Amino acid sequence: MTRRWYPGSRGLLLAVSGLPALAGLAAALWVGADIDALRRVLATPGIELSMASALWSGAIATAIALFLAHIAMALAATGGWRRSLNNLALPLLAMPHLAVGIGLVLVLAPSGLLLRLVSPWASGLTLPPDWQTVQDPFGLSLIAGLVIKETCFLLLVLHAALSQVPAERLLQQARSLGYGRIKGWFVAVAPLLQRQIRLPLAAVLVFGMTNVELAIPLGPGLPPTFAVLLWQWFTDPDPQIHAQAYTGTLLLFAMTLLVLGGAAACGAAVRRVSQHWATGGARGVRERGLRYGLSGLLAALWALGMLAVVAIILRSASGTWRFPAVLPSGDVLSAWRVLAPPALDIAPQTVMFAIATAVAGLLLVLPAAESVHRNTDARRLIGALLFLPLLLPQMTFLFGVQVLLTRLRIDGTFVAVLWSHLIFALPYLWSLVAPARAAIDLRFADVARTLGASRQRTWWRITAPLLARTGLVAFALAFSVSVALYLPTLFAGAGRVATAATEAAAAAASGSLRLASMHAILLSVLPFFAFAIAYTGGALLFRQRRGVPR
Amino acid sequence: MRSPRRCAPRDDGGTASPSLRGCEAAVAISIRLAESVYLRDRHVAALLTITGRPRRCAPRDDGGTASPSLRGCEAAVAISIRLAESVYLRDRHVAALLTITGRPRRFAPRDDGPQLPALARHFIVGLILCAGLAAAAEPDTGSNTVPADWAQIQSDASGQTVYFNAWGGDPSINRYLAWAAEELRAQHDLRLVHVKVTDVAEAVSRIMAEKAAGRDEGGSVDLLWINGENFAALKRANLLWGPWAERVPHAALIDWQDNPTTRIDMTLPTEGFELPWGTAAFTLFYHEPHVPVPPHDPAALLAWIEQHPGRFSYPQPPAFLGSAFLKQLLLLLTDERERLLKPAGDDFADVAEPLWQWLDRAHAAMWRGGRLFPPSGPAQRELLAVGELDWMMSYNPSEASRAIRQQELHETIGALHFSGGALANTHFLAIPANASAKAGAMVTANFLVSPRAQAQKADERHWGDPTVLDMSRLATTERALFDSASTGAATPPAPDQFLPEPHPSWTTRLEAAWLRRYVR
Repeated sequence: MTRRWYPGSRGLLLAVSGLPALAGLAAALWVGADIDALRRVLATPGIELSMASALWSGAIATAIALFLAHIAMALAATGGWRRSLNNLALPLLAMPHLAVGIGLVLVLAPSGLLLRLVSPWASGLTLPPDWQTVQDPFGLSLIAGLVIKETCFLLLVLHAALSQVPAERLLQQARSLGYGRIKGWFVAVAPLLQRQIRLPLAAVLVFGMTNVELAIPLGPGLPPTFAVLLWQWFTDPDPQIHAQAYTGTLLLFAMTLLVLGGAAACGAAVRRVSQHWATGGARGVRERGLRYGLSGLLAALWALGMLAVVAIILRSASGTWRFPAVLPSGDVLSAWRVLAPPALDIAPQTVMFAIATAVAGLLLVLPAAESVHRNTDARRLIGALLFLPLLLPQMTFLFGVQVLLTRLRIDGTFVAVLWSHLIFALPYLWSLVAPARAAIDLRFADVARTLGASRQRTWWRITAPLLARTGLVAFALAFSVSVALYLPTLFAGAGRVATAATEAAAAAASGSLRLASMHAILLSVLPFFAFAIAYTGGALLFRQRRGVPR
Repeated sequence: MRSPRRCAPRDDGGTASPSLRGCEAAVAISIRLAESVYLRDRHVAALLTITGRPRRCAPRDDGGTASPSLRGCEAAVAISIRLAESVYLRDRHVAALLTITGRPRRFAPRDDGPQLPALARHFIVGLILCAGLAAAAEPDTGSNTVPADWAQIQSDASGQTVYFNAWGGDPSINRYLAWAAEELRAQHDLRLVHVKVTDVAEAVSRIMAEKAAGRDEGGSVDLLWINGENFAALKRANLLWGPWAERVPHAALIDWQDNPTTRIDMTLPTEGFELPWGTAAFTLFYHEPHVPVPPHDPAALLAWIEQHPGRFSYPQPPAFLGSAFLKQLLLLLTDERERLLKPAGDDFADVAEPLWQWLDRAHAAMWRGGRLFPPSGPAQRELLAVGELDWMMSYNPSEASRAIRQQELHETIGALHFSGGALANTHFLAIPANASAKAGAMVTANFLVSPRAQAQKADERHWGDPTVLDMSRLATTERALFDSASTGAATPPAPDQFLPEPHPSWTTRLEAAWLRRYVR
């Protein structure tokens, strides 16, 4: 047995991700366990509503997004437009959450794009009506925002999972047994996919419950969702209220644990029901109506998301924009001439962190993936451990990261920011790369070794090309994760590191929607290009190969 | 500050020799905590001072030290301890310092010293105490008294360089200061350098750092643009030079009488340690076509709101302007205005009752039925701009005019102050105790409150900041300067009466009571 070339890679990977997570949790428990503060938290007016709306919006949005993602995947894969699906989802995937939030407000609000399009000629409105279409008390607009973002994200994950499922074969088998295409997909392929996306799904659920990026512009206002309430407490100068925030994050953490448990139970129930449905014998051949109906639903949602993109672009260019004008007044070019330079100044720094994160992340993940590619349990375990930070409320966990970085005296440095970005990029990299590595037929390498190739040569000649496509997508994903990270950049950068995300948040916080929109465009364009390059690059590299997994 | 206390006394693993590491951790955590809540009071200033750390929002050029380190902390603590020991201070603060730093005590260690959990707080208190002691112990040198002869000051000032630390976030303000520098160079042979800080607390912490390092003369800050908390912090630490403000010639023109905020900076008397420079007054802006008869008192405003359902709102307290709106209303609605200048007590409910009655009625007819509020002042401006609301509010009377010029608002905006008086505060100029060019700073300050400079400042083409001068004390020609100053159509005339801010305790109580009442 020759010595493997990736000694300690697993340990290194887990240490990079796990140390800050453990420190974060320890710090949260340490400072948060405070009975007085807990009492004050529970005595806050409207606290029950706050918690309920966080729970409700996160859970419902995740359920809907999961459902829609499966539907879209099934429709596209069985309808032969899977590749277009990717292209369609790309712009929305690339949009940061904050931008989607701002964009949806610009679309859905009574003064938004939708009503402007029909006013006054159809609706007779010359003033925006006093309707609560965004920030509604039931969190419907928040759910809409989350669904748009998370459906696209889950689609990406499903897409990656597809590489490890012999989907074509399974579908053919189902079809040969007489099943309709959609039913065949859901009976044969979807359950296998679902099994592989459980952790990203959990992360989506936790994010839905604990996010502030969407909940601030779209969520209910009086009271806000629990996460927003905590965020407000964090930004309060009163130390007593600050203590409340720490205790509150523990509550939030407990809530997420409960909900994750509940979700697991729900999953089991759904599994049982769908087994009945799958083994019921109905073939579901007549599916045209179903197909059109579901496509229509998806198209509507997609259009809403794209309108948000359009609204952002319009807003960034607009001077004054009174209802019911459909287009803003004012000189577009002059607005961009003033606003674009500061936005572009920040681009090189942002790109640098994003590329460094993606490269460092791949360098950490590839050897570790190599070392566990025969060991499914170890792979799953590492995946779960890497996901741990994403299952913690961001605010709590980042406080611990902060302490750690300061202790090491590297806060505000390049390495510190890179590290904090890695924590968030690694789980996604792992969930793409490790299963893809494991899915590569073991016999390929065996054949190569039998032919006398060394381990390294085998890896470079056999494994690397087979992984390349996944690797490119993973690179783009890590890139876009890094571009969109706001709180980690702020904390690890000690406020001295500026990226497009921090600038956009600062502009949004200061109330300048125009400048915020401008930064949001940059925030969306960078990942968009990363994904576009990854996909076209993959397609170009292997345009004459059929077996290379996509 | 809960976390630093708990985290501070953690054993540090292998570090056997007494070291400052525990202290560093405590300080670092405290700073993080403080910075994360944007706390800018004297504690943070003190923390930043001892650690020698640049502020989060401070792109301060730090010379060669690229990576931030806590090394400054050690030095500062050492200085503080030496200081404390040299005055034979044997109280719990020194004990706390010694305990945290793990240094051997010179005096017999007492067993009943402070317990570990309280250390971080004691540490901060101790350091502030030491800074205060240092300031108090310093002999009164001649340079710290204000010379009486203005001609002498002017001749001293000529040739000096004045480092004016002022917020540099607005290009038009920066241009205005460049103009002032040019004028000063021509008139007084004086070089004015605008040190563009992102927050004046940055300069405050630098002054404190210099003091801790024993730099009592030749400080790097000569003049400060300051008010409120930061002024209170410097004055408390005895780090301001003065009193000088009422002795500069143009001080005679300032509206000391009708605008009490020129003498009292957020309930703290200025006592001549800062010179009023500009003023802010709570102003309401409205969409003119919908408000033909502007309501000048709360009752009329309430009537308008009830006639126009869904067209009025205010930023959700505790957002800064939302709280200001509550204070403004309470000042107008209460019969006991004087009561509000003293800390709130058991009579809070009685005093605030008229406010709740007004709000209960208004909310029913407000935007979204009073169940949703704009999150901030700028957010409300956006809502006014798109047409969802007919009102917005600001502390700066020229806010709307400026927004119109920047194409962020449409043109048909009117503005008003309540006739009962506008909630107001003032921003000031102050000179640090260790300033290098005190004469130059005084001459600069005197110029900045001159009618010419004030008129230029009030002109919205240049800045648009209301003057602190009393028009009736100006000569006709000087008044003409103000008449020719351009104010946008959306800027109201100066209010009839300025209402000083209530005691801070009222703000806290009002915000809490508002949430209890209206969060459902």
